[in-house]
Amino acid sequence: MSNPSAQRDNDMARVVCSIIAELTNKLEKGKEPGSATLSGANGEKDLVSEDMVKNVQESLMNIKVEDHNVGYEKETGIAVRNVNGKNQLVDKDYMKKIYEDAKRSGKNMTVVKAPNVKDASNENSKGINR
Amino acid sequence: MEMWQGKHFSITDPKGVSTVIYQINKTEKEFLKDSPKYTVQRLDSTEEIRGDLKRKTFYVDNPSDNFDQLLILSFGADRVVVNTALLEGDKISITKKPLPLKYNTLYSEEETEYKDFRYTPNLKRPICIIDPETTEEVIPKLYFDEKTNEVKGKCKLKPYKSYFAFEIRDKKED
Repeated sequence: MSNPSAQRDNDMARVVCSIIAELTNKLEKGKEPGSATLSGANGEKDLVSEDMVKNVQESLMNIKVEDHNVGYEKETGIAVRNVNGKNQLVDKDYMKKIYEDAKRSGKNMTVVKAPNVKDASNENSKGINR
Repeated sequence: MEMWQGKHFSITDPKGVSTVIYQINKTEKEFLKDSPKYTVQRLDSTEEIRGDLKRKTFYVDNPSDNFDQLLILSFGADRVVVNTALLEGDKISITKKPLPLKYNTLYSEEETEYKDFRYTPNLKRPICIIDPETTEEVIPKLYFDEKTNEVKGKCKLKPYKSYFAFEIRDKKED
């Protein structure tokens, strides 16, 4: 009999982290631009920041997950998220990628009429590089 | 318009901390030839100021049917706490002990400016570089080197400043 939690553990990926820094930036005569800039590992596992770890872990406890609806119209690029009955406008390039990934994975989608985007809030995404 | 269901959740960042979250996606077998085994998607978020704290809502706009692995990075002044979590149904559970990483500041008396750093990304081994001060990703720009006939990359980094980098590997890989 297989152990479902062991199977799930096997399906999980490993995250490898590093801190990098430019160590030198002086271009010597005869060297090509870009070749003088070297980087090295510059971090260490922090054994003493207990306060910050404690505060961070507390902020991650008892998180409540809720559902929302996501909409994307390929023809116009309209991208909307409906959270608690309120429409938010979403960056269309970001949503296009999400839509393509969702379509490829066979996500169940329904066709609806696009909302009036003038009514949608401009409370837009933070933290995404475009 | 096509519509589907996503999930969202909120956290309040502790003072002086800024959290960003990535969803780790496993590439389907039929696409493995041209893509890495794992890719990451930074979660979109919105913020609300509550007193002197920020309450952030993160959106998983393409959740999996079973579970999703999340990478939670909490950036402080000179350190980052790394957490991994599982989003399953309506719950998020932290999967391992948190990893705090301290990044050293290298002092330089000279004024520094952003310089081009030669970095050609390996599409089969994506590495994410983040500026810990702004939590923005440093994205390499690709260009065509006519001398060598190759596509190369470069990104702007500031000397003597630390950046956080991560990659996703298979558990079986060394």
